[in-house]
Amino acid sequence: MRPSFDEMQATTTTVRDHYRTYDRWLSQQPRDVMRARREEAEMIFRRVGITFAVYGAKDEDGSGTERLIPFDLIPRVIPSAEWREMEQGLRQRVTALNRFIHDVYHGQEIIKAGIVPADQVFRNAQYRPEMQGVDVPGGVYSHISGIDIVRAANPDGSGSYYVLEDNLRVPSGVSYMLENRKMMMRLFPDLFSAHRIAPVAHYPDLLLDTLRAVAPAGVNEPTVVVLTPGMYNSAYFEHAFLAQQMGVELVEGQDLFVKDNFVYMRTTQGPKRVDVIYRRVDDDFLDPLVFRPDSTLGCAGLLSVYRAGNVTLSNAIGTGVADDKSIYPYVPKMIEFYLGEKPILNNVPTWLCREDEDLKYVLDHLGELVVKEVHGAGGYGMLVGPASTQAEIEEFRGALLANPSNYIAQPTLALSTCPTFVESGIAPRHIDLRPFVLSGKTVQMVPGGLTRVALKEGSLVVNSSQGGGTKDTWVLEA
Amino acid sequence: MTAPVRLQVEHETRYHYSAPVELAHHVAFLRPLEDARQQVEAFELSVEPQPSHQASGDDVFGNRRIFFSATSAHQSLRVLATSRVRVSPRPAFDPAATPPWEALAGRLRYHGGAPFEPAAEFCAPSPYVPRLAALRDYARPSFTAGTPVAVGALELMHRIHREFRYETASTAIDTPLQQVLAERRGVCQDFAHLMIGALRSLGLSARYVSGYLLTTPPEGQAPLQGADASHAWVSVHCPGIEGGWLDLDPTNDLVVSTGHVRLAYGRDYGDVTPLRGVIRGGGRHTLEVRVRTTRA
Repeated sequence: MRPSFDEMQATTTTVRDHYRTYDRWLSQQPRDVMRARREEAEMIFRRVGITFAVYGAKDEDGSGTERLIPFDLIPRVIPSAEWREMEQGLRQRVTALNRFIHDVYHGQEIIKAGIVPADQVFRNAQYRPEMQGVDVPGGVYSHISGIDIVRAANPDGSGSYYVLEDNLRVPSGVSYMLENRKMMMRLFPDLFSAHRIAPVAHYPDLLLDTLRAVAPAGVNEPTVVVLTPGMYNSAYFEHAFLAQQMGVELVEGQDLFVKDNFVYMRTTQGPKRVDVIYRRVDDDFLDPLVFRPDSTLGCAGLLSVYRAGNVTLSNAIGTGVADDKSIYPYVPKMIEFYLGEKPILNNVPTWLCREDEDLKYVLDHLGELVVKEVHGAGGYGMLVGPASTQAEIEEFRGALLANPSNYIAQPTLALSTCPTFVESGIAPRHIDLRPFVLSGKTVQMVPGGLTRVALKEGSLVVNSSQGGGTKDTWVLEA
Repeated sequence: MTAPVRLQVEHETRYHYSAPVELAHHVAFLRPLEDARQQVEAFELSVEPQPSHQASGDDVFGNRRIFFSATSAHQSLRVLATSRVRVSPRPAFDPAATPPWEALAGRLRYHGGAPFEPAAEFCAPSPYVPRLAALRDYARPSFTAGTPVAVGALELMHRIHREFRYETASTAIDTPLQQVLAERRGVCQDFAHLMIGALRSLGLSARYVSGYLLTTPPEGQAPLQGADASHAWVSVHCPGIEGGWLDLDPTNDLVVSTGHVRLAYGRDYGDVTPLRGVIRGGGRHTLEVRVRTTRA
């Protein structure tokens, strides 16, 4: 039997300390009340329009692809001591990642030291030679980082946290973290008087602080905007939400233009200079003059302004070089190299299929491993060995052999579970956690993050595009 | 060995737009590069209409990149780059004295703790030069076991020149390499990309060179292909050769010497496109390019 770890149940009959109050409360709630609350939550989400779009999916009538992300009523609770350690680990990790990106685009000390292979950096599709020698305010590249963390069961029944991946380009999901909390407070106000739960509602304030802190030198009252690809993007709701919460303009590429080496937005009062762009547009689409010439989502000439230091892009261009799955295995070494510290957070052991020995091992153990595309995201293009049929494994073997360097493999972790409402009642489902780390003058974060849950029984894929849901995340204050 | 020569280049680009362009941003790689073998004695870039903003700086490969933008409405754009350079001939070299290609490829491959090889950057596939099994198959006959890298590269250049047909306008810049390889025809950019891809598929390091060719050949010689427009060729990393890089022109089956003016080095065409831009407005456009390279 595979080991398992449940966030709430220590054994089938006993509940972990930090869930004790909640468990007592839950046992007093009639089942039909909980069901009614669940319907209420769904109705409110739908009415408020908290949706996301599924690429390539069509509804039965062939039109809309807007979906609700299923929201689960049972929170994921983290004791304060665990969070304190995780927070330290996140701070350390994101600081080292920012140092790494700066290094890649400047002296490349870590490459010269033979710690990170040069080809892993230069062959990386996310490496942007255009960024060589460009100085960004404070040397910070990834202002908003989403670090995916899971807890995996150890053979002795305890659990350990692991970083699954770093998202340093345009991590999304923070709006669900905020809306989930609002929803819980609305549905179950009594729970919030029975627990001391660390607040998260100030995230937009921290985000705005961070963005203002990295404005170009000499700008005292920076104008911040959120740049969205538009309403067809899967995270459009979040773009609009964050702009509204911060009280800044939401713009599309066509609203911006470059003149005399500054960026302006068109407003009803005439052009207004823009100092900081929180962009939710991928690098490739930012400036058709330098990157994809067919992009209509960006603003021509933006890179020239950026190089001159007259605008800040957040996150910086070229951060993807550090969140690539082939760079991930080197993050613990980066922490040691740049900070001289031992990594606080664990990395998952990883096989790089580009290495002949690793590839051989992976091919021999496909049925046990999780194999991922190096540049993949959103749960697309991956194989979960133990959950796949022989035919699926063989099909994947072909793709893997055709281009081994495009894949990495990791052991199938026994992800921790958390009790979740499903059709048959309350049952354990696998979860992960995405804390959002903000780096400006200092590194800040709100306690917790977004907990995603794989709603299908036994499934390990929590991505919302693959049928995952979310939960409120509570960090208990000591 | 002959004395250095002076070459004069005039590169004129004209765009005519069917409707006014209200905002234009352009980036140009039109200034010849400078190194031990090539000195720029004079360079002038004139743009009509007068740009409202112009800035230049060096890119990551050391090329001079010039940005300019025009914010007043215009229906034509004329970019004239005039350069005078002094080019020294390539010293004689012995291809057989370069290292065997496998040894070089092995050195360029990553090894834990080994010193960083800057040339390794040009071993990686790039947007216009993907990694293709067919390129490796094409390259192999020129690189039998133990072949010195320069000998193999020269042989590969001879084969491309022999087996591919130069056909003006037979391809566009976005024609994929597979098609060039299948149809055995193309223009100088295609041959450069093809040869770069073939070398990289063996783990060797190769750069794309953008530049010009002497329009009027020395007396008694036939004019070269690609002389009436901007030209492209290949630079192969060959330790043991002066400068460490050997420039080869597969379009003309030539070792580059004093007949070529070098503008810029990059991973492929996309890094060093001589002139490109993004405009707002403009409707349809026509393009005229004129290049004239003469002995000054």
